[in-house]
Amino acid sequence: MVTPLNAPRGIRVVADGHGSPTFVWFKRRQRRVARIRNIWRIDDEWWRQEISRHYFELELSDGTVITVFQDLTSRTWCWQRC
Amino acid sequence: MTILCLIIPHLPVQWELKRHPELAQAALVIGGFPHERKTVFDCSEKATASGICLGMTLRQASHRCPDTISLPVDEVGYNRAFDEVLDILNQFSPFVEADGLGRAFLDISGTEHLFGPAENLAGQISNEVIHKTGLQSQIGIASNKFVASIAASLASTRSLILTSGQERSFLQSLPIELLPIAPEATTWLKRLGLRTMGQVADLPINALDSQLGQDGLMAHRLAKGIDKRMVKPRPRPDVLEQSLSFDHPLVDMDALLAAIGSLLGKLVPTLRSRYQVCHEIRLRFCFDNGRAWQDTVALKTPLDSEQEMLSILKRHLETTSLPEGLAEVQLALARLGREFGRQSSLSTGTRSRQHEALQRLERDMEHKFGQSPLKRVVELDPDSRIPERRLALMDAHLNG
Repeated sequence: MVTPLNAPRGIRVVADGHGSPTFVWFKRRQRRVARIRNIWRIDDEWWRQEISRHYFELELSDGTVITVFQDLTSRTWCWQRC
Repeated sequence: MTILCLIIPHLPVQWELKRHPELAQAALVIGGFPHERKTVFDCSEKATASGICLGMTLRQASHRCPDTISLPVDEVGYNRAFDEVLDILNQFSPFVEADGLGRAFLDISGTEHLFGPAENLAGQISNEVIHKTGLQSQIGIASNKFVASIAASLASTRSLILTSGQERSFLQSLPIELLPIAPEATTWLKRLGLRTMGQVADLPINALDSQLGQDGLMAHRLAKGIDKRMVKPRPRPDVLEQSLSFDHPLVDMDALLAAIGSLLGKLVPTLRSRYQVCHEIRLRFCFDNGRAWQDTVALKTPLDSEQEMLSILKRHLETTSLPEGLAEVQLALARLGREFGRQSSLSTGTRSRQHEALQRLERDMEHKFGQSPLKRVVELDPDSRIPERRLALMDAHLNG
């Protein structure tokens, strides 16, 4: 049996009007996004099950750096190591 | 220091009588056949009573006693029998020294806590030797090697034990022939009218030194019961050996490799328990027609791994075919040495050992839980833009 490693995990995110995260609930605590360090998009496999993700590399108020993305097809937020 | 000396009197004769009990009443001479130009190596008490002594030519011996039965010397057999005795002695003390064929010294200082007083220890050793080898022994215990060896040679059925301080009085009346010095020195002492060790001990040391040199000094020291020589433990045998006999002669190479694997399975744990590695593997094949074939494999890297040894032997034997049915295979791990650090390879290094350990773990877990939870990380598409497509977990299946 093959189990993919680093599968996306759901995360609660509050975004501003432009769709940029401002608060995240990470490790059971709400944290403020201090800075967005990087942004990129992945659009792939449109010919079968489309993957369309908007990634944000975030620096949180306590200094932790995490990567989250918004699945643009389902409008859900996920956390993933990149 | 407490030294025990064990003597197996007439070991060759005892050994031959064990093999040929029908010769118990004969005047037995060991050295060769009467027509051979050889000398008497050992002889039985009956032969000695007939006037035969060690070093006499066999021809002279047969003239002296025409009824003697002569046997050729089997030094390998005698040495093997004595090695068995030494192995028994090693159970009582780690300090065992073989002093020629049939005589051994043990340093038994401090062993009274394990085996009780010296009398008990001597009794235990004597019983063990006769029980396991069938050889009669004489035991002497004293504070040094010389006095212990004299005590052993004078002991009969019971062991002779001397406490510290009794040495000089014990040696006082014994003949000077018992001193281990050159025969010329003994003759010179006799010419002076000296007959006992007590008389030698009373001489001024300067006189003995000026007349006999080192022999004189040694004679004086030993006659006074002073001997500072230590027991030098014998080196451990450098070979681990096992053999396997087959009821039906083997003709198949795979079966031979399985047999070799089983022998390695017996030997390697012993090797590891001694924290040693093996530099050489010796194979001996005995065929059903009585012929034998011997092979030695020198290892580039000293090993203590059963798996690695087996794979080397497999490669070594892969071009070989068995000419006849194989009746017995003997495997010896030789040139054993200490385990030492080795340079790990940058790529693989100790991975084979780790792999073996993991294989064992997986087998154990499968045995215990029905399946192994061990997984391995595999690269699916390392360059994928989608992170979860890059790596995955798969069942390990380390045992194939």
